[in-house]
Amino acid sequence: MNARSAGRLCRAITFVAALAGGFLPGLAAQETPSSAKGGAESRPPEYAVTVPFGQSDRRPRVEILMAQGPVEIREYARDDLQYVVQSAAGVTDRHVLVVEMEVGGARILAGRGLEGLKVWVPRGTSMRVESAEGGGRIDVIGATGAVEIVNVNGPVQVSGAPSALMVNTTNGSVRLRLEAWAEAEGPYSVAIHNGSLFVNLPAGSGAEFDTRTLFNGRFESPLPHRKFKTPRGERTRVGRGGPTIHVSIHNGSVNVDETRQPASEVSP
Amino acid sequence: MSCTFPEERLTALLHGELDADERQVALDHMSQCTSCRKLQASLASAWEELGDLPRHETVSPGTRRAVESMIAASAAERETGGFGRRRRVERVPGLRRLAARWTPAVAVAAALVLGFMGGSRLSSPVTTPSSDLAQRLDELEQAVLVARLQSSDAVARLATIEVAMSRADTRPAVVEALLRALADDPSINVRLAAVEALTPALADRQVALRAAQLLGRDRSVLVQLALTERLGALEDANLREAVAREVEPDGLQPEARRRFEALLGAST
Repeated sequence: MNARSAGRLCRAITFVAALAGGFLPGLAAQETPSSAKGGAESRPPEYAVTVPFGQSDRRPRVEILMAQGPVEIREYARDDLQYVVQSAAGVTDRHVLVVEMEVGGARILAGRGLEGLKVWVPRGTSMRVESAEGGGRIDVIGATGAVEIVNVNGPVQVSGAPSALMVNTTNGSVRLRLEAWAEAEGPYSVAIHNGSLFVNLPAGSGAEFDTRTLFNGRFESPLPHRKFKTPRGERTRVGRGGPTIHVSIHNGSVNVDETRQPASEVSP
Repeated sequence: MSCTFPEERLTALLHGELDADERQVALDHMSQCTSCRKLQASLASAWEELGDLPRHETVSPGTRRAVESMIAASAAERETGGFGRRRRVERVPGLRRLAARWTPAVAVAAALVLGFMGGSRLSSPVTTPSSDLAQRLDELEQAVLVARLQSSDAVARLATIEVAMSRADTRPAVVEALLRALADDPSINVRLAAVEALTPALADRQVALRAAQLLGRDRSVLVQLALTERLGALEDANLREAVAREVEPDGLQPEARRRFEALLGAST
């Protein structure tokens, strides 16, 4: 069986997360994704559901399509995916979440009634998170793969050293806590309709911001920076410069600062 | 290429990566599509030449540098030789960057075609650049770029557009692909990048008019504003007037409409 056939077979296997409400006692109010922190809590609890990835030479890939959040995704040192889900009272989880396995990845479909979803993925996973309806808070912690996020309402935070980044939100701010920035690959693109972009760069590093499409906002940073013209428009260089972040904001500003403390110690 | 058949399927067919059903679909399509047959023939020809490469032959670093220099010189020759399009000399780094993000087989093919074709010409002292070599590489690059813009991976599409952007690429096939991305790509980030990548080509009347037609159709105010800025910056007053006539005013969102009227002097 080649990889493609295996992919079809795996994809044909659809797991419905038929989890009883009492099956997830730890995902009560005291441990919602938005309140999770680094350290010990970054490990999946014992009751987390494990989804094995099929063997593939490609980077693992995870796609999460949801009606609403919040969603938190973390990388960890395993080669499978684990998740825990919390649904609204009166809504059984089987109606909230569907997980499809694919070769080298998985797709999670989260419907209405989701009150919290925490997902752990292998290091280097390329991930795509899209909210179709109301949206909600989306946190990606410790990313090293490519990250694509499309959100409607709610803040977005990405920390780590994503190899590429695309964020598009309608209402909500975006915070990037970047690490290992000097080795960044890119591309990095952030488009926000209403909301600001907050970027924390590693101490001593720089960046360039393509802010030509910053319409009703300002670029602010306590770090040394200057604007300069290029053949195609205007850019803002922070420090000595570095990888470029393309920014398009309709109503909002860009705020750039250095990271004051490790991302793992900061609540998202 | 005017047809909508995914060009990446053609390269996959060439590499033997399609299963029987997909292969049959591709072959059936090619039997009826001239443009796809032409592209496939071009790619297949390049592969056949790779097959002629003697196994013991390797390209030394010195030879590679010589070939790259030759290509650079060839590009420079064409830049000053009246092709009527502005081109950059540093073509090879761009290809490498794209290659790092795309199907390794095609990227390697491009590199090997470069090495083989150049190497074969270096078997005897070469003092003049080969326009044939540059043309073949040019065609291969365009095929890679255009196919990559049809990738299902939005990050890959964005990375491809950044390559085109960094080169101010105005080759017709690339511009056509960028216009398609602007018209159809579901990602706002990609469409915003397409606007920027198209900017050098907007001096072309036909390109500017087609972009203007797309302006009122895009649902994102960010894209509308970005494209309005680029069209409003056109130096040719007659072209700006023509552009203003092409825009569907009902499709413009209020802020984009105000900006459009301010920049293009058109009352919608």
